[in-house]
Amino acid sequence: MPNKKILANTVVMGGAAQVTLESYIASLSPTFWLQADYGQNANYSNNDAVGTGYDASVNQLDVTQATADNKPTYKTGVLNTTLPAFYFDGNDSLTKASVAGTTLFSTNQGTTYFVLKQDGADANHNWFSWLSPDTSNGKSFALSTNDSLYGNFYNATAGNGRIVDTQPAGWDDTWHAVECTSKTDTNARIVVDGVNAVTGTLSGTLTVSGSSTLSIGNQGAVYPTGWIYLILNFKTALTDAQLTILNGLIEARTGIDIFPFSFTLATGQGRNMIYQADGSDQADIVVSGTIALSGTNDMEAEWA
Amino acid sequence: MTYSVIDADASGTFSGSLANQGAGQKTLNLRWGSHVRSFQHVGIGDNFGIAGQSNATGQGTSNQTWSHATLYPGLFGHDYNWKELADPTGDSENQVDTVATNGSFGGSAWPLMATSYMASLSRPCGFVVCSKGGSTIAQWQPGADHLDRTTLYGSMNYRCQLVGGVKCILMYHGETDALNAISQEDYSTGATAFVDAVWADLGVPVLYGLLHTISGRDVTNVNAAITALIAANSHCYLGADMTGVEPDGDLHFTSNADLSGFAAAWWSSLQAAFGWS
Repeated sequence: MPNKKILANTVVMGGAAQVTLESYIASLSPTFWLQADYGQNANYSNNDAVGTGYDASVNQLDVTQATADNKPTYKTGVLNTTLPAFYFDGNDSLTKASVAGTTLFSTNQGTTYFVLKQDGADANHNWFSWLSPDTSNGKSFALSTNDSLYGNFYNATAGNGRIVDTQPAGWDDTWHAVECTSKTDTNARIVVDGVNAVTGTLSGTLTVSGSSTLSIGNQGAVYPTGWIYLILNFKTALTDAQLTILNGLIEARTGIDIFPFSFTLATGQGRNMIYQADGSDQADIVVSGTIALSGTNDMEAEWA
Repeated sequence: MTYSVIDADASGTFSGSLANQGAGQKTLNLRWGSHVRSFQHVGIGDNFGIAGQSNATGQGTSNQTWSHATLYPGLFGHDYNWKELADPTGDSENQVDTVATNGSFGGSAWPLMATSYMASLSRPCGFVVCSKGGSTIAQWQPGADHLDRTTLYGSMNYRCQLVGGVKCILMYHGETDALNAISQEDYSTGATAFVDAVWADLGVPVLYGLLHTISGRDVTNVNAAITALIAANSHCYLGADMTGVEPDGDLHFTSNADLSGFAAAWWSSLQAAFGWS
């Protein structure tokens, strides 16, 4: 068993105050907060058609669907044995018209966080999108589309506001905690279960003036097949310290094994890490990092 | 599969190493309690720094591909990210050091050379492509600060150090200076300074290619300077010898046959320089 000092749904902060997942999310002031078992969403019963996804943020940007055939289905007991989730069957979406960009976003930073599961290898999963009124840019996350993770933080042109890379192994049919963050230093990342899956730098800024439609599961009449437990959006990029706590709470709640320690290697990092072999064709693999959870264990490594 | 403790009783932070690992490519697993994470394709092999002009960047009509049953070569791109080696290796998308931005890029010799390297040595390799189309030897001179990333040399030096070092620099250069009818002496001065700086900063040799035949450009002086440099400087080896070759693309190696020959010449030069079979 992991030597974790985390109780179900709680995390020890500084050895003193205990917080719940919901109270901690609230303390981070999300601008959008859709959670299947929180707020009025918790009133749904198994197999209910979801006409409204209630936003628990102070903005109350409830997303809706009027067409019966396009409503997601509320399913109980689908995550970590007991938790509910919204199921999108490939033709479903929830939207909110006329959402002011300034309500949701900053121009040059932010974090959007998902707990989701994709059904099979279905091609298109644009779970969250808001296009600026002039459609010149916007923010959207396709997790995944054609087996790649797309983070459109500003506009959809790779090299400007988009980062994209192949989805990690084990993506399909598995619950994941996905953090999408852009920072004021132009660095952006998509982190899956605590591990960097996509990284890159951005140029430009997000046009936040005016209002447009916030869509969960619909961009350009393309609909996902899969499950949503949680979507959070923040105007500012969450700090590593905040994410450590949030990830710990998400792990405790959902059972998703979120990487509890970050690490870097002394030399280059990426899908392929290459060390210069010395004259004897040997090299040291030097690793360092931080451990998010409390407790003590040996850190072990193998290269096999 | 055997775990080694790299940091006993780790809490909060950790650091450690797996020492003296042999060349190859495997999965790095880290375990802390019951938490295990894997990082695939961690390799120990050779990185090659790529310098020069458009032919080093790659101007092939078709992107080239590498092949190996189990190994994955790497590319440290202009975006400062490691990725699986793929053409166009000179892609300027998300370019970090704008001094080395290439206006055009296409298929290159590097995937093909990687195939030969991996087949022969059974280890992965990586490429740090720093070349710049149309650059002169004067543009490859180090500034007062050898890590000044606004210079081509500084950008190359910085990147090669950032990735932990390179085996050598593969330099294919001189097409523009040939067009400008540079003297042998002037090219030699610049090339010598480049080689000496690489040795001083990176501690590795330069494998310097000899130019192919180009319509309207006399490469005699450039090739003579490089030949003399190789003979006189112990830190400079013969790179791809394309002397007398007339590529389908004339100035550029554009066809698959051009790139295949270019890659084969580079691999031959590496075999000769490092005794690889």
